[in-house]
Amino acid sequence: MVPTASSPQVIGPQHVPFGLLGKTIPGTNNGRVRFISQPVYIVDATGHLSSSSRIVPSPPVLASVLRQLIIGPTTIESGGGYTSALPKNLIILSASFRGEIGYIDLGSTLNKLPRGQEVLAVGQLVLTARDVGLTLGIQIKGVEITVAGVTQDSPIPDGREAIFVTTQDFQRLSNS
Amino acid sequence: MRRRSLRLRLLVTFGLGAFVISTLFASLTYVGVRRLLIANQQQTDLQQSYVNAALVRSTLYSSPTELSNLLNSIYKATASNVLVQTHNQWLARSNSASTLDVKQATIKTVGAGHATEQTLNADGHVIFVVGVPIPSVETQVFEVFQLANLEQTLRLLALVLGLGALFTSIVGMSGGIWVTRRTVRPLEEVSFAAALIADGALTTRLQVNRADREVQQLTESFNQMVSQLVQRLERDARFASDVSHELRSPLTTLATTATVLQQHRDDLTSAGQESLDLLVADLSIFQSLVEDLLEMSRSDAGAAPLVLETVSAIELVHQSVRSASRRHGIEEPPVEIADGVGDPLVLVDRRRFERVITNVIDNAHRYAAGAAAVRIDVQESQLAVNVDDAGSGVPVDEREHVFERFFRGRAAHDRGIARGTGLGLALVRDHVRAFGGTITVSESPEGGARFQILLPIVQSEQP
Repeated sequence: MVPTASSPQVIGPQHVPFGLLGKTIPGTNNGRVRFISQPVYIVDATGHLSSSSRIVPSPPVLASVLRQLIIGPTTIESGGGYTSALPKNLIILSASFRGEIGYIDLGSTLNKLPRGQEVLAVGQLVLTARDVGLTLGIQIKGVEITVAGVTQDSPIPDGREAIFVTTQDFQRLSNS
Repeated sequence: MRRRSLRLRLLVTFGLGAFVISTLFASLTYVGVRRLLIANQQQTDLQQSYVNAALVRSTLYSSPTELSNLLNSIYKATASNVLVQTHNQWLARSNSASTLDVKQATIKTVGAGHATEQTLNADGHVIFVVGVPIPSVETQVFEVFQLANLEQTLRLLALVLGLGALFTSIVGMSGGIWVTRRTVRPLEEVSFAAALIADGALTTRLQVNRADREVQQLTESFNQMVSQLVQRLERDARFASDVSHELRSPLTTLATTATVLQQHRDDLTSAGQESLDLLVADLSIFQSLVEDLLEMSRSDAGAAPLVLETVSAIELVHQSVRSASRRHGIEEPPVEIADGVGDPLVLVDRRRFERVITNVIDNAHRYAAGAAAVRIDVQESQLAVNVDDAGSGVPVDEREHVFERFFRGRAAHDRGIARGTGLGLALVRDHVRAFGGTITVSESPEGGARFQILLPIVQSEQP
C-alpha cells in the first residue's frame, strides 16, 4: 500500500528548520557541546551498588556527575526498586582529581546516617568518582572525603574507617 | 458471418463501459488520494521530527539528564520512537524504540551531516524514519513513525473504491438492461408485426407509443407504410379482379363459339381442325387462368366469403378427391387412412377445401405422372392430408418456392409443359392458411413429391 525506499533520501538543508544543522545553538554563542553517557552508581533493591548512566556534557565534571547521585534515580529506576543512599539535602561543595586521588568536599557529614546507608553513600561517591576518572583517562586509587574542607573518616564495608578510601574497598558492594 | 444480438451488444457495451469507467475512476482516485495521504503524513511526520529534534537539543543543553524522560514523553504523546546517537554510540532512546529500525545507511548519512527520510519495511510493518543531525550538540536524532494507520486507511480506501466500482458497474449494467429493453422492444414489435403481415395478417398495426418521439415516429411510419401497402394490394387485387371479370364474358362467348365450331369440326379442313384444337386448348387454359386470378384477387381483397363449417375430414377428402378426378377426367387416386385416425372433424370452407385437393391432384397430374395416393393421418392433434405423386419429387431448393405465384419449377420446363397457370399451388397455400393450417412439400415414401396439408382438428362442431 505504502511504497518503500531501498535507501535513505537526503533532505536539503534549506528544508530543515530551527537551525538544527547550525554549528551553535541559536541564541547562544556556545560552540559545539558534546554529550556522553556517564556511568553512575545507585543502590539496587538488594542493597548492592548498581551501575546506571546519566547523559552529561563531555568532558564530564566530577561535581556535576556526583550531584546526579543526590538527585537520585529516575522514575523508571525508582520503579525498579533503585534508590540513592545519599540524602537529598546533601550539598557537594567541590569535587576534583589531583593526581590519582579524588577529593570530594561535602557541605555536611554523612555520619548521621545509619551505618549501612552511610557505607552505601560513600560507595556511590567512590565508584562514581572512579568511573568519571576513567572517562577522563585518570585511573584513581581512592577518594578522600572532607566536610567543609575538614578531613574526616569515612566508613569502609569491612567495618573500619579511614580518611582515604580505595575503590577496591567498595568493589565488593558492586553487583557488576 | 454470425450476427450477434443487438440486445447483447448493447448490454455488453453498457456493462463494459460502466466497468471500465468506474474502474478507471476508482484507480485514479485511489492513486491520487494515496499520494496525497502519504505526502501529508510524511510532511506531518517530518515537521514533528524537526520539533522533537529541537526539543532534544534544548534538553541536552539545559538538562541533559532529562533526555530519557523527554524521549518517553514524546512517545506517549505521538507514539513515535526517538533515538539519540552521538559519535556512533546510542545516547538515549524511547523505552519501546528499537535500534534495528534505524539502518546503517541512514546512520551513516545522518552522521555525515545530512538530514534524511526513508520509508521502509521492518518486520512486516511499514515505518517512516527521519534522521536529523544536530551538530551543535554533536548528536543525531532518529525518529521512527509507524505507518500502520495510514496503511489501514489506504486498505479501507481501496475497499470502498473497489466496492464503489463494482456497484457502479452493476448500476451501469442495470441501466444498460433498461435502455436496451427500451430501445430494442420497438424493433422487436416491428419485427413481430412485419412477420404477421408477411403471413397475411394485413390488419396488423403497431400501437403508437407517444412516450418516445423516435419510437412514435417509427411506429407511425411503419403503420403508414403497411396501410399504403395494403391499399396498393387491394388496388392491385381489385384491378386483377376487374380485369378477370371483364375477360370472363368475352371468354365465355369465345368458349361457346369454340364449342359450336367443334360441333362442326368435320366440316373443316385438316388445317382448320388443327387450328380449332389449338384454340380450344388455349381457351381452356385462359379460362382457368382467369378463374384463378379472379379467385385470388377476391381472396386478396377479402371479397371472397370464407364459409367455415365443421365437417368430417375423411368424408370431405373422399368427396374432394372424387370431385377433382371428375373435373379433370383423371383416374381417382386411392385414399388411404392410417390406423387409429377415427373420424376427425376440421373447420374449413368446403368449397375452398375441394379446390385445395383439386389443385394438388391436378398439379400431380400435370407435372408428376399423377397422384399415387392420398393418405390421411393424425400428427400431434393435427389432421395430415398427404397427397403423394408418382413423379421424381420436388428439388429441395424449389420446395418453398412452388407455392409462390407464377413460379415454374424445373419439372415444368424439363417436361416441356407450359399449360399450367402458375397460380394453383399459390391458391392452395392461401386457402390452407385461411383454415389455420399449413402446407409443405417433401419426399414421399415412394420417392415422389409429398404435399402435406396440416389442419387443426376440432373437438366438437363449431359454427
